[in-house]
Amino acid sequence: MLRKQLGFLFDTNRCLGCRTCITACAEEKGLPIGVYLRNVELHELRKGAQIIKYYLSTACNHCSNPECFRLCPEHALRKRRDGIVLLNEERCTGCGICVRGCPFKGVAMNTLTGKAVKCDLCQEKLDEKKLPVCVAACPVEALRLIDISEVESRNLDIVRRLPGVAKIQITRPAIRYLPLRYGKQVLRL
Amino acid sequence: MELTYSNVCPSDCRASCRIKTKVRNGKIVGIKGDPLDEYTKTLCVKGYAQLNKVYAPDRIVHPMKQNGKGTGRWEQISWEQALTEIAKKLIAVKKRNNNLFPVCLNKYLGNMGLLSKSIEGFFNSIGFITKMVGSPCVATGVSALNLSFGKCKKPFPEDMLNADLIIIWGGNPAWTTTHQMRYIFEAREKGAKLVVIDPVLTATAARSDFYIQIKPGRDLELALGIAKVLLDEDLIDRDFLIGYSNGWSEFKALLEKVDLAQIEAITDISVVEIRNLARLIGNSKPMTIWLGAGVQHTATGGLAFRVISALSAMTGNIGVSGGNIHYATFEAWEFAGEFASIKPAGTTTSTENKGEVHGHRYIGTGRFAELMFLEPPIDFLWVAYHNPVAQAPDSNAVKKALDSIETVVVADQFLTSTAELADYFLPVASHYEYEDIVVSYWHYGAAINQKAIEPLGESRSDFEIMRELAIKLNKLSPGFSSFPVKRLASDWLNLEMEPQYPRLGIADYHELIDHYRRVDLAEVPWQDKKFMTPSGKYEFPLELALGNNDLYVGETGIYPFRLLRTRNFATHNSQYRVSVCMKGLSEKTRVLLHPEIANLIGVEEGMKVKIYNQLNEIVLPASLSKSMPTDIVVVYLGCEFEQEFEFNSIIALVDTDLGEEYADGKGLAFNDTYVNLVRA
Amino acid sequence: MKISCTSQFIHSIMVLAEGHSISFIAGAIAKEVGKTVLVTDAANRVLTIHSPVGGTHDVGAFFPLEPGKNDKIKVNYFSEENGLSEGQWQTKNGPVSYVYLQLKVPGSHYGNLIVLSSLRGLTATQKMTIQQVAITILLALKAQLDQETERTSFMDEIVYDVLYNNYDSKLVLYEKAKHLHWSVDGPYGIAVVDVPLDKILAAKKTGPSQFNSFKPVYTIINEKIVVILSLINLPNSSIKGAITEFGKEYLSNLNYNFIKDVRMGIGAVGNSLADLYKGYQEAKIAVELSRAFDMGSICFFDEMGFLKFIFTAPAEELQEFKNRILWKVVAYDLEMGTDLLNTLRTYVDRRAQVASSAKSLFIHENTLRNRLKKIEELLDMDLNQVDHLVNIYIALQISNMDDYGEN
Repeated sequence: MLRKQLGFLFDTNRCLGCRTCITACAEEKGLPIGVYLRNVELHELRKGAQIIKYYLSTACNHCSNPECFRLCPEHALRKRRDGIVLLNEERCTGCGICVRGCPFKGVAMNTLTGKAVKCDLCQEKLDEKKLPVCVAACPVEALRLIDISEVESRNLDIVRRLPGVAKIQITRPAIRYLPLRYGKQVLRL
Repeated sequence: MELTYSNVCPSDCRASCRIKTKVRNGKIVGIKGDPLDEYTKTLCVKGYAQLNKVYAPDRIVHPMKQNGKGTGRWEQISWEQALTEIAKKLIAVKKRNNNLFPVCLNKYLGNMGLLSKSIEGFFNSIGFITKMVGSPCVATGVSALNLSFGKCKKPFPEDMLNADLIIIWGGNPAWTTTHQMRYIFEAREKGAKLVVIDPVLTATAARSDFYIQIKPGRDLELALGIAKVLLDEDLIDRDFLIGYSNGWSEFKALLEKVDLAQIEAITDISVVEIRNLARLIGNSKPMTIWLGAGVQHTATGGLAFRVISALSAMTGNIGVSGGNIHYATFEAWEFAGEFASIKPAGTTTSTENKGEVHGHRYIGTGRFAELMFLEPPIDFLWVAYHNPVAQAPDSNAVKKALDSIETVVVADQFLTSTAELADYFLPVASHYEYEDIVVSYWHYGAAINQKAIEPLGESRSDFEIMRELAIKLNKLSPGFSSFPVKRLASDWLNLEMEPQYPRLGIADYHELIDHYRRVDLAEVPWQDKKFMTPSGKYEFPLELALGNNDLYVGETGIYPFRLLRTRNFATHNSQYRVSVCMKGLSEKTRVLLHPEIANLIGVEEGMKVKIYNQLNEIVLPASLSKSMPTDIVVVYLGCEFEQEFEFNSIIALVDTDLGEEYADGKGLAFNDTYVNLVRA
Repeated sequence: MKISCTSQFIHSIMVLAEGHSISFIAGAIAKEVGKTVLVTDAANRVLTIHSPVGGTHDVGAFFPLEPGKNDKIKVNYFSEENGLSEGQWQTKNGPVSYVYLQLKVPGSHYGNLIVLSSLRGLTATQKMTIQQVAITILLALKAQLDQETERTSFMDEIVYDVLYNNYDSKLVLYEKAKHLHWSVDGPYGIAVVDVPLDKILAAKKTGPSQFNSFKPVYTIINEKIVVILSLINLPNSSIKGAITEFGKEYLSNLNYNFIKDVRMGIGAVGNSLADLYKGYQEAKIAVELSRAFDMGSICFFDEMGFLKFIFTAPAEELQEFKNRILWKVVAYDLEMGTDLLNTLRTYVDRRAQVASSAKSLFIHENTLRNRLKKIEELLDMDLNQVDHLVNIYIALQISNMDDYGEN
């Protein structure tokens, strides 16, 4: 009897670090230049002789225990029954507490409106049975939308963490990853 | 009211993405990839950012005149004034010299639309001038493949799905051809292996099954080593070699002389791994090779291309589905000739006629220093779709050349570093603001670009600018230009496209609004194994075999570090590099170093490093990575919003080994630049 | 196969059809066999107890049913064979024998029918009667449960909406509150109870049925039990004590039902229903922190002191702080395949005592000293310096929060 919790399934083996998801989202949401709801980070680390290099694209993780939701003094956040965390712009006063409090840089400040803005999983598109813009825009399908509880109940080969990335788990972020595969590397002598 | 238009990205890019543009009240409110586009479907990071670029605060939409090059003392002028003054200059040049050789056109690849050819069309219409032509890039690669195959052909991009082994040699499609990665991943899911050979662990290399970190500029030698193993271990296709190739015995004799231990020393790849790679190549069928721009930007890039493609020939991977070389082809463009066919007024002689004035004077693109030593000297330069200060080697030489020319006209959307040295700035409309057509040189899709909005401010399409200039010229000096000024843009498009209609299966280019159409090239080239070389066979590179004992070219630099540059995901050559629309998205330009090197010069992550050589010095923040070899530094070209340096000012102008076979000059070996570092 | 139905069975079915309660049916059996009869739900909560002789046993809320040897076998209510299990109940007045039958069908366990008697104390016919009437009680329990499930999922949704601000206006909140027979005005207390997932339904039912003379509301949200308590008329000074008492009772109920590994987090008091969301988040965080740091079973968010301080600091700053302190050790571990971070953690946990740390790591003291030297070198810190050690301690605590949740 698990509750629906929508979230992203991210395939590190496919992400190219091309950032299309970031600009596609910003374009869809009509954000001013320089304001984005997604982040793409490069992770590069060494494990023995292997150089592990991958990109990680994240937005709001629609946490089970959303910090933004707890911290907001204005009651401006809510969580839908399908797990989407929404920000009500009308209530937002732009104090920025949520922007600073989110462990995942999931909330941005809209320089045009002076209010906080975050990913809403393109809820209007979802309600029309369409995909979120970032998912649809990814040229290599590295991002997928899943019901976390459904996927976890099927015990698919997915993980909560990636090598070398410390991401806080206490908020229960609704993001999962496909485990990273390594190729053979012949580095210069 | 909301309307949707079909557009196409005109960048010099393999994808040439179709765009669906939403317009409300005369303003673009949204752009999307066009699901109709069978190859792209989605846009890339730059494609989406274009929307901001159209309305960017730094876009210039009025004609401007600068009082003194580089002074920044710009004044807004009317089109009437701009065109009159420019026309008078042209007339004066002709009067003074009795010819137009002092007029120089530098047009490049900033826009791939058919109408951009109207610029050449206009200059053809006024007389013989000096043209900067050729290519710093494909000149080398196309020449190499022309020598081997007789013509540069390639398979459909989707044919990669049929490969069992994909080798990406010196390319980073993850950031330059993102859509192709979809096919590469799909092929892998079906069991194909992905090999990436690159000096830098790129985003593509990071996702490979087998990454070979090659010493930069040593592609030729690694390919020879692989070929040697293929021969030694009998992993070759005799039928192909005997039946369809020329020069195999000489090439074989050369391979027999190759010493793998020496190859190991030169390439920094162990003999064991060269063997592993060769066996993988020899035992995987079909095998396809992606030839990247990294190789062709080295001094031996042309030969390297020829030997790498010889691996494909030796193993019988030419002319088979899932095989061949994925590089480029211009077959889809072998038609458009209307603008090119314009002849100067009063000339009946064709360019082939001998005589003192037999046609245009040609200078290789990028070679700006040469402009200063021409006779007659250049008095007038028109720059379109190019930012040579940022793109050509040795920026300071380019600046000096621009400075020395009496009148420089730059037509662009932004005040580029080249425009900063112009006398006139002409504001060009964005591709959303006029009708045009783009044909992809990668997937051959032909796409219409509708006019979605009115040109911003006073900006005009290049076609309109050229037409208006022709009208102005003829008014001031009747008969100066033979440009058919009465013909509308749509008439031009129709004329240019007419020979293409049967190849696209359409009767009118407007049908492209609702249909994805591809020029009817073969899905797989060379299936009949009839090559277009003089011998009709595949040609092995014999120049190597013909008594050249000095097989391995030594290092050319006196500075200790080889400098490579990688393009940022958000940039496209110099486009977007100084654009406000990339703010907050792209990282800034920085130099990647191995921590040991950083330690040696006493810098840490983020600290400033001075990079210098005989040409100039620039200062960049350091970024440390253990994936970097210790003898190279990589400049990761990001976006600056206030540019303080010109990166190409430390790039030396070095010729590649090939180019004339295709263009009028050799390609440029951007990757043969050497530098030293010091803490800034 | 020929099945013989007892008249009591047929009678019980009739009675059920007429709309009589479980209690009524249980009473009829008690009378028939002349023994005390109990019906419990699957969590052993006593639903009804009947004694034909009037006198009653002090059973309490739960019957201490011990697993019997027949529990695993499929119950056949009409077999001639004896499907009853036997057990011993330790009371103040000495042991009492009982027999019981699990009311279950494949996949569902609805409850238990218990008769206070030894097996020998029952005749074959009585046993047959108990067995057959059991199915009637099972049907009754099932009907009750279905109704309850429907109501529960409806409640779950509404409570979810209230706790996640998932309503458009105060008016909608009033509507929701009305459904729950709640007052919009508080104050309310809130607790989150984390139990093993396979026990969650049973655990939900074992909560105390009264608090502050109101019925607590139990729901399940995101795999945790959420308890809402009305604090009306409770003086401020006694709220914490009352909630603690409630928690202890709940935990002892769970323990009684063999549900172990339980954590309870308690958040801030909500002065109105609309404010309860904050306390809910705090209660969840308290549970997570209590697990991450292995604290007590009942944790008040506002008592988490240092940890709360860490957690409520902007997360990004925490990550930055931790990375700045520990990154080189983490990177070194990854690259070299070592586990210096664990060495450091053990050393700090063992109050910087080399001997006990080495013992706990199963390594020689000199090995530990060498490792600590390497760590100091990587961290560029001195493990003997208190301020350095404090920074490391905080960084390790943050790292605990990060690592937690992986398995």
